[in-house]
Amino acid sequence: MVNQVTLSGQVVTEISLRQSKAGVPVSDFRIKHKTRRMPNPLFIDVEVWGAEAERVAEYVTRGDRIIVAKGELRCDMWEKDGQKRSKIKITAGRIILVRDMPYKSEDHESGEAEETSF
Amino acid sequence: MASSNFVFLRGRLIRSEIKTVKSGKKVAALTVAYGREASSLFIDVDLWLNDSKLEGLLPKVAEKKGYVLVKGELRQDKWEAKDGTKRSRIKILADDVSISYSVYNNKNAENSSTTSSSAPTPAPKKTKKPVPPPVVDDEDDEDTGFDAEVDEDDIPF
Repeated sequence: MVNQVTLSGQVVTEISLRQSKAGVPVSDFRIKHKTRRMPNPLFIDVEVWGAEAERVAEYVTRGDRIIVAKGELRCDMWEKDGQKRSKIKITAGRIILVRDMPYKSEDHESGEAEETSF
Repeated sequence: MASSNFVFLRGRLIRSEIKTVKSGKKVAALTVAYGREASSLFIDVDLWLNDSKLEGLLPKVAEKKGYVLVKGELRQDKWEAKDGTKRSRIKILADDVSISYSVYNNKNAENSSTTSSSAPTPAPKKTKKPVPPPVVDDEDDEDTGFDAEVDEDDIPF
């Protein structure tokens, strides 16, 4: 069975942490992925299970940029008003937190004008 | 930020429609089914066709619900429904779709042809038809989904 997803994006919801019926920690949140080539941004729900879910709940917050790794596409189905609905989401095995290296403020200001000389 | 968006999926091709857009380019609108019935995933796949061979093959594969291997990236379509509600659908924009034969499947096909003596050509093995795809119209409101029930047995790790 082949079902692999890797997706980078920004967390746009709070990170929720709950327990499954079997007592396994589950964390879910939504991310936004956008590139210049894409006509509209992609919003997709991500679900993480087990110890990784606890790690996510501890370290990741809304607005953080992450890479969803070891992901798998899944489909949730439910009925609403007698109509079958479905939603595609990602179950991820690993979440990688992406951080920018901070600029020193003076470097950043002077850097932009003089950068071309390097 | 370096961005990444990569999908690799192998599943049964259950729909294949070739469309021609205004510019004359051809696009294949596919639906791929992955997994067992209880936890099936149905996802739409768009593929720009530059290969006439694939164009001929895809409908045949779809007819037999054969396996395809899809490589591409995730995209989201948005539109407004007739009742004015906003709808969205997650799909794959494929850059490569290949026909993928299953070893087990071929074995089954052989078995079926030997047992049904009447058919000279091995008839395509009638496997259990995948359940018809549900109406895929995710409502794009921020609340749904998180409360949805998840069967523990479906979790792969």
